[in-house]
Amino acid sequence: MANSPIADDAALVARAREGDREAFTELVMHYQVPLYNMALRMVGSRDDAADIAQEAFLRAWEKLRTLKGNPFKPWIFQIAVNLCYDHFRRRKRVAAMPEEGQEAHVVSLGLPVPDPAERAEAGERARIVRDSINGLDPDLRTALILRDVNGLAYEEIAAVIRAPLGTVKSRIARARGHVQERLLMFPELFARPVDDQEQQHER
Amino acid sequence: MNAEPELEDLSAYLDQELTGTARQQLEAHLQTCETCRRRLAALRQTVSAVQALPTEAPPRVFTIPPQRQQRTGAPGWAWAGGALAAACLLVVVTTIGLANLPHGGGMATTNAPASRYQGGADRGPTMTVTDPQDLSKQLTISSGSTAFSADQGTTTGSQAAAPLAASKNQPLQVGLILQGVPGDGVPANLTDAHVRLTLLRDGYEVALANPDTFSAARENGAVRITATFRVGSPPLPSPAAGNYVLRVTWQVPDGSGVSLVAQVPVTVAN
Repeated sequence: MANSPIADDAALVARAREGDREAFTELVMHYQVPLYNMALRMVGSRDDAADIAQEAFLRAWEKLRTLKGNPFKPWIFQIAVNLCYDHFRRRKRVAAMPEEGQEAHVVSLGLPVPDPAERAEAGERARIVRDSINGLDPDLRTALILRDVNGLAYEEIAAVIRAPLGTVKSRIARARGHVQERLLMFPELFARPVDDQEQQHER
Repeated sequence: MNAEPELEDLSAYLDQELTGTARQQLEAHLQTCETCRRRLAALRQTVSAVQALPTEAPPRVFTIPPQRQQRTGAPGWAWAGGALAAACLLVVVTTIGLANLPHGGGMATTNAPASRYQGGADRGPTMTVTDPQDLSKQLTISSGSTAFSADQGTTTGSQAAAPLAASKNQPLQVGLILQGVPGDGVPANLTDAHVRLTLLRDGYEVALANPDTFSAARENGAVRITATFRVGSPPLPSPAAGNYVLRVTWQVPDGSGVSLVAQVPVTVAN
């Protein structure tokens, strides 16, 4: 959101390609939280997600000279997504291992939830959402996470997964459709909205 | 013209990725079709539910060990190409600063596994770096005990408190250990200790120069410093809440010109 991250990235990449580790550290700082959270939502385990993020940065550093003039962001996400797929293959099954009930160093900018009962309910909602994501086919899961967890634009996602925009659009929509079906099985936690009238887009 | 829109179009519309005629047609359709308004609302709710998943701070600091070199163009070759002695020296110094070497000098992904975050909130993440040229020089940073109850303002999505979060009414505690400081003096402030503390995020770097409290003591040849900062006071980028890296740079006061750099993740909550 700050000043032109792409231009900043390009300058840092240029310096890092000359062997400037400090410049690369800046890139790591910039991308560590989004990359880690992408991996976490993909594979479900904090340790594995941290390993994936670490390995992604290592590979990026080592292969930085192959990046040429391309943007760093989709490239680093692509490396990490590929590592997630490697992880799935190693596990021989495409299922995340959610670390339910474990405390985490959680960061949130959301509103305070003062009431323990509400907090428990929020925790339950999060668990169901995580389960719904974990139930997705990995291609759909990737598209959904890149969009709704990481906030990447469709074009960026297309670059990450090396697919046409139409595929991105379709995967995101299908993933959301599947998740929605799952959430609607818990009407007490995810009330069905009456209409979109009042929250409607730009009216 | 108003055929029932596909799920894809509704979804892309929510993302502002539907443009031109397609967007206009969809909007026109929504004006007249309650069913599709409901579909859109349900989809919007689903997206919100996914977006509401809490962002988690990484359990460790990700680093590049000095022995890992860039490929293609062969690292050794670029340097051996000669003539770049000064550049080499620069790289070495940078490496010392940023290698984040753990004690043994192996893989440097120190130092705070997830478990450290769990349970009590007495310890924050810790990182120690050693000057590879002089192993007696060591710098440790920890973000100290900033037990921060969820009741005080972080939403966690789970029942976990966010132990490392600092909020405006909860000062950020920083603990430093400077090992191998010559003499027996005790620094009176951060500058005196040749230490610079910064908070980094998204390319912003905010200096933490004026602690609310500062204490220093000598212990077994090391200088131990504890400082607290009110996070509200430095001009953090807006919104202030979020993930930062707390970085300490210590210019080792032995005339070597070496600086050690260590860093830990820190969360600022609303």
